[in-house]
Amino acid sequence: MKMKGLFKKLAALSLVGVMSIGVTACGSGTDSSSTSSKNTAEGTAESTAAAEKGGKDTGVTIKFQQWWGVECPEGYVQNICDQFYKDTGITVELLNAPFADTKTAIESGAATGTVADLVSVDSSWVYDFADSGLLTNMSDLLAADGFDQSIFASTWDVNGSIYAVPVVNYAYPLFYNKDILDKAGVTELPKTWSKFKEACQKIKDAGYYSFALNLDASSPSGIQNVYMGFAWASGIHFKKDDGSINVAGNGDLKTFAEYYKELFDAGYIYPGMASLTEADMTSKFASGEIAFIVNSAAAITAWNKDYPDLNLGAAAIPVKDDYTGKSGNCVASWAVGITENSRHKEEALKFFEYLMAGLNGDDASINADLAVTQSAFPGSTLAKPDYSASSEVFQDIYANYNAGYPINEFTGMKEANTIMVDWINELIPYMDGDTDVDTYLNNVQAAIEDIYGN
Amino acid sequence: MDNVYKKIKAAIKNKATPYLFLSPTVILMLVLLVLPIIMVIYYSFLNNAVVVKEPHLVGLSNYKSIFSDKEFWGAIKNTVFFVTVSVAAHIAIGMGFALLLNSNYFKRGTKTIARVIYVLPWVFTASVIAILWKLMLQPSGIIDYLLSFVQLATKDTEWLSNRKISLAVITFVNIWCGYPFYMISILAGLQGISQDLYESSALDGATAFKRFLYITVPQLKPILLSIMMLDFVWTIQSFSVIWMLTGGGPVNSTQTLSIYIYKLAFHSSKYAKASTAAVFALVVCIIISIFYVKQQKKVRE
Repeated sequence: MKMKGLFKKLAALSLVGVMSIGVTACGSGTDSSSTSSKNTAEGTAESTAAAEKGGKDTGVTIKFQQWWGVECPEGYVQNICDQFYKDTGITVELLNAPFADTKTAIESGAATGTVADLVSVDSSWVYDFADSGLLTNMSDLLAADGFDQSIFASTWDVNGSIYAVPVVNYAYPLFYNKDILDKAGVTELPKTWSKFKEACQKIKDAGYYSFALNLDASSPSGIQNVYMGFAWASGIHFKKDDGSINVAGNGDLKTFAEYYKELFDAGYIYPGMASLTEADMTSKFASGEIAFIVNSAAAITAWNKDYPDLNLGAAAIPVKDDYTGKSGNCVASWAVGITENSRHKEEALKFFEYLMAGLNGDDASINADLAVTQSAFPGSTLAKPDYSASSEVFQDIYANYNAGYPINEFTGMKEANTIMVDWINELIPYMDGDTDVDTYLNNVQAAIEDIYGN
Repeated sequence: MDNVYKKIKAAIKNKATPYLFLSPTVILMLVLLVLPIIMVIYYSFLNNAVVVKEPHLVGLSNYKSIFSDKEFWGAIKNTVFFVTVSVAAHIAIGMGFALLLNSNYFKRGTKTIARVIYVLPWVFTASVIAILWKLMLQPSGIIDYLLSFVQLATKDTEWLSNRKISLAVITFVNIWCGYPFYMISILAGLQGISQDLYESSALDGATAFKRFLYITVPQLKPILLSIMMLDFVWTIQSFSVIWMLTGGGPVNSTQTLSIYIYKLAFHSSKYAKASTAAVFALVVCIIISIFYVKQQKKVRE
């Protein structure tokens, strides 16, 4: 009996000990240079094997928080890291998370002091990350390293300094369903707003939905990619050249808003836009319900795989009837920034430079291959991607992309996500006819100025 | 002397043993419950948290800012509607189904099948519920198709995108997925009520309604109060279904307190303000919890 009691006590004590150790382990910080664990165990094993083959291990491990590993073909990003290890002896530990969870992962990492050395960022986060001191000033790092910054196709700047650089860019063209257009008798792709309206009417008459605008509040990308994407194609901007906000009283934006309302009132826009997500929109397009959508070129791969019968085409977004200038192409990017708290900024910069221009700054084959693999465009001007094996649809997108210029005015804006949600919240009442166009634009201007504290 | 020492040692051992057994749970509760709550309360007094280099105390500034925010009061209004209608409907529907399943009008087999069907909404996870209802409620979905037969909707009727009805629609979905909890709890309570009470009241000539009002309801009162309070707290915290169906839109029409807090934290990175709103929700939940604990104490007595 006594033994039993003693055993119970010992068991309880052991349990307490084990749990205390577990809890302490959970709370303790991690050293970014420590041996990698988590989901990268396999990759590290490969790296070690690589080192044995001839690379000299520097003993440095940098962590890279990103969503690329989830979206690229399996093992693709890890292979780049393994090659980097072979070339430099620096281990890159990939911290994979879906795009939707990456921002939270970065912010919680920053709060606990465990943020990765290198992070992939979205255009809507860059200002807040730079402002909060989460990202380091890359201009200084690049200058100190003597890296040729002119090879960057674009950079994301805050207060005149680079805080992130797009590695690849995704275009947002106008996709169309050829079968629906054939059935509706649309023989020529619409190049202007009026032709687009005519095409929409024919499609509607044929019993299909013409176009879609996703204004779901949980992921407010529709206002950027679809709504403003349409405006940018006609050279309509909401910022002045000096970067100040120019929404209220902007004649071009007013004309554009009225045009979109006409599309909505005529029943050309898919019903339920206020709760339509990007995923809903693309699936309805792919299943043959909607004729035209503006979406990322990255979707082509998934459509080809999941909807082999989809007769897909891509075209430039129609422009205002009297517009003759170059079209702005809305882009989204996979950009990279280096965190302020990183203890291996130099190595993190080296990996970033490796992605853009190889080991010696003159070989952008990695950048080019990543772009081709992801149906994207390279962030390095040195890259010469070979799209010859890409689909005809992508070739069209590439041609249109080269004919215009990349733009995304939301990039680098303070609380860009909130601005987009506020914009949606003003656009919906206007589209529903509850406010007039001037009130709508004035309210958007006021909402943005409120965020900037003006 | 040795004897005294041994006695003291034994006494300490005896006293310490229960605490040692309790300690794993206590440690877990401290780390996973108490510590985060303290941190959130602390954050609510900072200029911002998580994303700022050197946060500093700002007193009640966040509270003033939150309480003067129209969006916050809009979220409170939506939450009050969402919670009160959900709880009231849960209790009415749960009671109705429980009475049906407890009655003698149906055979045992029929009751078993009905019980399985009725409990199904409670079995589904939030993501399944959201996907299911989103598919059914979308324009040209099955709801539009069925209602168009009785001319109550057209094929393009927008249920989730219409600001005037979207809150009522998500409340309906929440009612649908929450009533089985009431049904099961009430059914268990009904089966515990002595039949003698009903028989003697029948002899006294009481009608079915009076039997319900003066026997069933008082007998079920402890259960009803308990589940109502639990439901109140759960519904206030309800997030997943609303987020996946509407994301709080259109134009904040379905933005409840939990959505408001999430958007402040994860859309705007205003963790201090989000913590302030969360402290408000915490206070409301604590008040209800106090009533719940008191109620439970009464039941035990």
